[in-house]
Amino acid sequence: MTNTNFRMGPQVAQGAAAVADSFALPGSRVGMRRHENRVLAGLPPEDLARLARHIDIVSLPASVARPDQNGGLDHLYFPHQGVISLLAMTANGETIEVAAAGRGGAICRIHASAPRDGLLIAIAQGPVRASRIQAARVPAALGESAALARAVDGAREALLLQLRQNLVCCGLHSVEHRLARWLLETGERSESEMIPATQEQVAQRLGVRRTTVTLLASKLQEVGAIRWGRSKVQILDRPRLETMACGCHAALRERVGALLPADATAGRDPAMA
Amino acid sequence: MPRFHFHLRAHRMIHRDVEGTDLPDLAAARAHAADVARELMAHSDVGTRHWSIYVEDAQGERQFDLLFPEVDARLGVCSPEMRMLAVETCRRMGALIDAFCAARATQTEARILLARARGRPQLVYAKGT
Repeated sequence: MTNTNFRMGPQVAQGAAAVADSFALPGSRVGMRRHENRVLAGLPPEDLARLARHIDIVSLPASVARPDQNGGLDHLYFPHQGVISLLAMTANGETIEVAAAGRGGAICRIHASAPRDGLLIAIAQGPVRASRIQAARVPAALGESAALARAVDGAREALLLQLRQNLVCCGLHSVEHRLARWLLETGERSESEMIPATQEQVAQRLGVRRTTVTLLASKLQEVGAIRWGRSKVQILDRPRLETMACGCHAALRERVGALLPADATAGRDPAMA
Repeated sequence: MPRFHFHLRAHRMIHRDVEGTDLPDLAAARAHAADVARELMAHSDVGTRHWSIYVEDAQGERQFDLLFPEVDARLGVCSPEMRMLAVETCRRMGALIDAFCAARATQTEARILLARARGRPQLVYAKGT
């Protein structure tokens, strides 16, 4: 099965050697190394060793959604760094972000039993490195590890919580509040105050015109909350940005936190997968 | 395709659209400005009713103003007099912001000139410190 969801062909490293390579985490003790993705890091080492033949590691380039992209998720993704967005796309190419995951979560099909998710597409937010399992091999992988099946259920529930919260947010809150919330959550998922994003990409995630994002970004910059370069946003004043975001940010943080594994190595808040 | 820049007047400031958007003609630019205004107003408080967008072409020539009350669906339930009052208030607020920003630009220019005359770094003066 080929990956049709990313504009450029991802670089793939396959098999056990690639999985072993992904265990590199600075400062961790030999023999106690944890996987870079926290969902996979939570699995027993013997399960991870058994699953290695299903997993390959890819580098995905940042891209923008195109109207000609096929729906459907061909892989189950576990990001190591960066954020993968799940976008819903209409027939004429309009998009909106349904959910997203960084190294604290996973991107999987919303309905475990459905063969395809229709108009949902996965897009890398900036350059992303991820472990992935082909959709056709997922049932076999889940059958081999009950721990993986439980972890993927948790990641799916986290995506569903985001979907519900985003429904509330889009229906009730202003785009100004939604932009502040998106910046906060994407920063938390990528575990960085520097988010690789153009205003065009953010407009695709919020489902608005690029001009709208430009004008609101200018407002956020005027108050010193962010600095937006050509293709990167830097969060300068997180507390300020939090006051400008809607309550969905805090609500989601609390609910998702209970579903996903905590970051035992860095001591960061795990809530935003 | 000509390029248009959509600048927003809000909170006593002008937020500039430096990049601009390529659109077929002036009618498309009007439709785009109205769409952006509706996006900014959606689920916002009534404060956005005083906002406006002014549109320039690639040469910086002002083409038209889009006053938010002109496309605010929430005003549909109001009387025509009330709607006209909202449009007129928005127009005057826009003129006030233009004057305020022009005064601020003159002040900055004066600081820079003063800095040059005194042989001091211009940026220090430009920021007003």
